[in-house]
Amino acid sequence: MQFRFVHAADLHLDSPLRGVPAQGSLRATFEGATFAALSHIVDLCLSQKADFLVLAGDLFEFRDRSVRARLALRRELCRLHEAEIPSFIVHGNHDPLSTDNGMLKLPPSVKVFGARWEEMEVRRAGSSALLCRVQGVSYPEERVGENLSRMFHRSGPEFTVGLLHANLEGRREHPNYAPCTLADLSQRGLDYWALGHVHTRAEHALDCGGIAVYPGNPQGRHAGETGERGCVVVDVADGRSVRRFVPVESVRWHRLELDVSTLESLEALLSAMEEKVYQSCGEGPDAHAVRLVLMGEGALHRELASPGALGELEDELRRCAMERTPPVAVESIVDETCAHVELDRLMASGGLAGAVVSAAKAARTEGGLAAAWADRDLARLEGALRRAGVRSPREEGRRVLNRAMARALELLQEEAGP
Amino acid sequence: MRIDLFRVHGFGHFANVELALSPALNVVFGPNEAGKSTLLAFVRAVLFGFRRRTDAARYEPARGDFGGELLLATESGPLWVRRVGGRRYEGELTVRAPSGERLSPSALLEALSGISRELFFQVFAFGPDEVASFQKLASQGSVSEALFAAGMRGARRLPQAVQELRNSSEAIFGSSRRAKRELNRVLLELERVQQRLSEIGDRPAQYAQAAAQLEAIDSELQRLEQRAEQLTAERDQLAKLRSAAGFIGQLAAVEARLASLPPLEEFPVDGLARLDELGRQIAQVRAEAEAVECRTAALTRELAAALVPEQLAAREPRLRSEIAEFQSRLEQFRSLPPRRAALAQRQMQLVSKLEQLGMAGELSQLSSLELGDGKEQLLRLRDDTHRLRAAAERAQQEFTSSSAACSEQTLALERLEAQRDRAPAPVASSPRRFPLSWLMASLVLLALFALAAVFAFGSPARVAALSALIAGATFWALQRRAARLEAAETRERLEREIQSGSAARAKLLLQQRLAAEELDAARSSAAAIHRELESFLAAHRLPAGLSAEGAVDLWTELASLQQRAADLESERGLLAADELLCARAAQAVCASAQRAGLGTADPQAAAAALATLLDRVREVQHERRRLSESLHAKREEAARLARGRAALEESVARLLEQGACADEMEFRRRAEQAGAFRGLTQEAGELTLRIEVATGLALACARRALEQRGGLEALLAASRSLASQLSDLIGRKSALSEQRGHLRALLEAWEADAEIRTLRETEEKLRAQAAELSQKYSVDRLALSLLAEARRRHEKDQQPRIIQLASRTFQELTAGRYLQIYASSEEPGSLFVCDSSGRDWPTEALSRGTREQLFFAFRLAVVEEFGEARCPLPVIIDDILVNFDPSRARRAVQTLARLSSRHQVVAFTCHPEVRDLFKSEGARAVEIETRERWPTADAARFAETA
Repeated sequence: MQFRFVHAADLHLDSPLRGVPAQGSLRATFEGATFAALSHIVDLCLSQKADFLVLAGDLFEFRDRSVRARLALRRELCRLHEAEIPSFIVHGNHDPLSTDNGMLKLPPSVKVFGARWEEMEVRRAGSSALLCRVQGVSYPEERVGENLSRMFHRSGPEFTVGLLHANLEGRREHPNYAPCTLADLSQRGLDYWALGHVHTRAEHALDCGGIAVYPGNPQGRHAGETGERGCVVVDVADGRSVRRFVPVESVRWHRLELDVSTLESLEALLSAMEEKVYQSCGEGPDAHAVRLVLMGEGALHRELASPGALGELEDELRRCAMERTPPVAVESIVDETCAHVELDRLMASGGLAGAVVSAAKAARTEGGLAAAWADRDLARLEGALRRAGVRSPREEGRRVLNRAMARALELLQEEAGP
Repeated sequence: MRIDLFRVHGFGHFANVELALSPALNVVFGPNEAGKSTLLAFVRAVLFGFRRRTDAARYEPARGDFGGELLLATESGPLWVRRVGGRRYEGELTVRAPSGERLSPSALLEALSGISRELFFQVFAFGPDEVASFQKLASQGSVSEALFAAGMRGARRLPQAVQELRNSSEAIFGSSRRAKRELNRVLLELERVQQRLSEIGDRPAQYAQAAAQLEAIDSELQRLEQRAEQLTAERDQLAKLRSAAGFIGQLAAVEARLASLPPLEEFPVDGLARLDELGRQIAQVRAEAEAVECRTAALTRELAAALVPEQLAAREPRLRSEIAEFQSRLEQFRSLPPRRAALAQRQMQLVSKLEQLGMAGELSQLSSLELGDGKEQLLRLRDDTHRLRAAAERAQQEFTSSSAACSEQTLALERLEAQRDRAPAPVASSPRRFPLSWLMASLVLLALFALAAVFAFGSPARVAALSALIAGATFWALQRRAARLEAAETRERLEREIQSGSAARAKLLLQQRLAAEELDAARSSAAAIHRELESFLAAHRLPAGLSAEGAVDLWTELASLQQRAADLESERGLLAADELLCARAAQAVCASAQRAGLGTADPQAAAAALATLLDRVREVQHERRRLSESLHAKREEAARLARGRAALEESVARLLEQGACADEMEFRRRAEQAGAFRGLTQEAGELTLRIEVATGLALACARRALEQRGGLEALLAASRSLASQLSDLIGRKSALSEQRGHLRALLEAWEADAEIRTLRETEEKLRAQAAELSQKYSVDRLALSLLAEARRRHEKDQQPRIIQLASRTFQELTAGRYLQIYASSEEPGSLFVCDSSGRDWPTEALSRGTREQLFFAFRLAVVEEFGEARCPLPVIIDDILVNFDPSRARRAVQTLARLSSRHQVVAFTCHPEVRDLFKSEGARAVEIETRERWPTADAARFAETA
């Protein structure tokens, strides 16, 4: 039996793209990017003549309060319904069942799995032959600590798809909801785990011969979600699946790092930035969004640190990048350059700088980090950030510590200057 | 580094003074107000800048130069450091080498080993005030760091670094919610946005609720619509029945009246009208027949009266022909007498003309003249005569002119000959060789003669007179010769002219002879022609002696008269014929008139009377014909009317039969009943129709429905009730529609999600900003932590050294009363001392003098440590020993003397015993004179004391 289905997850419909300034003509593209991605997925189902579509949770965010997102989902699924392509949906932590107020009224060909495990048999329209089985379970609430994968089990010899929103192997960059391990999944004996939750595309071969796939989110929403984003087209023949990733994003994010060590002027830096952007942002999506991170040690560090220098560079780069085809929106230029510092020499030579390096080294340990963050002002900051729902810099503790060390050394090092 | 020389240009009350210092221990003594503190301030100012202009301790003199210079001995050589007042309040700094070469200001910084202003002021150059306030300052941030940094390698920038990090972090975030801090502002804004989002609530749920509500309203509206339709239909039905109720009653009454009438369905619909119409037509036919009859009788009478004379009628064509003939000749008839008269006059004119031409006689003779083809001959003769006459005239003129010319020529010849004869005879010699030779010869002769005369007579006057005489004789001879020559030429010319004139005269004579010959020939020809003309005139019986032109004119005139006579004759013939024809026509008319009994002899009157009579006859004939035709028509009409009347009477009979009536009276009565019957039937029909139209039901159904409703009254009550229900229903519908519109607008607004989208975007943007700022803040705070930790570590390693040094000095100063100083880790910045009995004392518990000794000891420890870590700097102290007892003061001086082996020490004092103590330790003592004793401003006011 041969069939084809499309696996997507984490649509986060109408979720705003973070940190891109309102830039005239690009604004509409950015606003509609998540919707465009969904439309592309449906177009793909239609063009590829998929037998069904599975959506593995986080279709939208409850916190976005978007009616538009729900209406768009219904509209797109209606297109599939008209083409007699059924859809299977589970809800995740961002759109748990508790937030479903029943307004969706999805077409009858759409199966939304409830809080209890269910299995559906998939058949082609007008045929009684069983194509495959799709199992799934939705989050009743936002926070699900239970290992939901344990509810799944094989109930027949047919190809079986498990649809689940879960954190596999305790990925730290995502909340640890419905945690499970590869062993857990392998133990269930399913052929294909259509997972959602982790926004980075990944495939994990299971010992049982099956496969667990995160298609990633189909539209990156910030500079942390870079590169091609899309869904997975799965061709099944004789119980074996062949996966093919298809990018569907409307806006592609990039985090581009540029080493400024060899550059000697801001003009040269601007040229280098333009070249970097142009090399990285080719054809494909409707637009690109770029965060440019300046790295390295060099003469430009001081110039970049002068007030307004970075802003002017940003403006100039934005102006050039907007004229590209497809257009490129520059989200920001981040200056992570630092003065030339030889840590080992500093440590060996002692003095205050050596003491700073030693203190930083000591602070890198767990206990040291905690002690460093025990500062009353930082604790106050964390409290304020928590209340505002902003991620604490403490989560990037070591990186922040390194920057702090670089900054302290830089301030002390000026002594050697003219 | 040390200070070798003070050079004050102007500072406080000092002007243009110098003070040399020893490299080791120095004491500057002066009474109060001598300027010791001013000199301390001078050193501070030259090294670190003047105080602000508003500061009392700026020491800027009222006039003159401001500032001065210091000669420093540094590791890299001597330096002149000069600072004078300038635009900037801190003054203008100049650093020079002894060679005068200008150096960078950083040379001073290097010489000072980068020491900060605060540290220098607090530790290296201080007075009694600083001594007392050391602890307080040491516990404060900047000086504390500076103090500790003083002894720390690589920590020169520590105070600035810490300050910058504090400033930077405090600009980002702080404990207060002041919005001027960037992160605080962002967090406040974020809170506001989140608050608004929270207020908006679960929009999808609201949407679902509103959508459900809308759906419910839609279905309710649909139900209300159906109900309204039912009620409207019911109301309409009732209204119809109500409007038809009156018609139903009327219909019942009509039907009752119809029942009272006999059956009249078959009675002709328009029977009475038709009967009346037939009666009217019959009466009309009858009247017309009577009129036709009367007219027929009258016509018959008129016809009988209109008689025509038969004979006249029979001859009418011929009479009309005669009248026409006469009428046609009437104009001719009238023109006969004038024609005759005109002919007679023309004849008389011809005869008279003939007589004028000289051809007296009858006209008959004129016609007998043969004027056929002779005119051409006559014309030729005339032309020849003309030609010959012209030739004769020309020859005559030529002859005359040549004769005259010949005579003139002869006379001219004679004149020439007479001139010739008068002219002198010509000389023989040739006149051509005269003029030049003669003249030359005369001149030569004259010259020779004059020369000879001059020689001979010797008198110029006589020579001149003789010369004039000879010249006059010569001129005369010459004149004569010329006259002779001219006469010869004239004669020769006259001869030539006579010869040519003779030739011309001969030619003229020849011309004259030829002209005479031509004239003769012309005359002979003219005579021949004249003879021919005479014979022609005779042959044609024309008067003799006529010239050719006269003969031609006569010939032409006679030809014309001959033609006119012929014309006259033919016209006379015509007149005679016309007279004959007119007479015949008049005669015929007169005869006919006579025969018709019209007795008149005038043919014109007869013709007119005859014509009138004939016209009358024709009119009568026409009248008769018309009357006959009318009569015939009337007869036919009378017959037609009779037929029409019969038909009409037959129709009346049929109508009566149709109405089943025996007579007209009965018919009329029944017709009246039938009219009522039809009216009622029609009324019933109309009423039925109205009922059916009004109710939409068949009559029977409408009657039944009305009965079922219980009659009109019940119907009206039901209608009122229905109207009330409908009004309520419409009110509810309107309210629901309004609600639906509101909900729709709300849903549409929510579908667009503009506000939430903007809020969410703002939220995300603010989060990103907050994350970035918090990271910056964290970096700064962690950097501060790292610096603090580094300092702590440094202090941990380094403090014992400073503490040890300070403890040793303090022990020396107190002569072992106190053994140790230490800093508490629990209370950073606090110092404790341990006395010889092991008891700890906080600084606050010590006496003022002891406390100052402690801080002095601590300062000296830092100075030593700084000197070891970097480079030794001079220590300048201003009367710091005032609160020291003499023994401790001595020990302090001894300690300073020890220190001066490495660090230059400059002590200011106003106490002679202190000065003496320093002097006893080998100090270079300098005395400042009091101002009162200063002789001049420029004089040195420092005196080195022994």
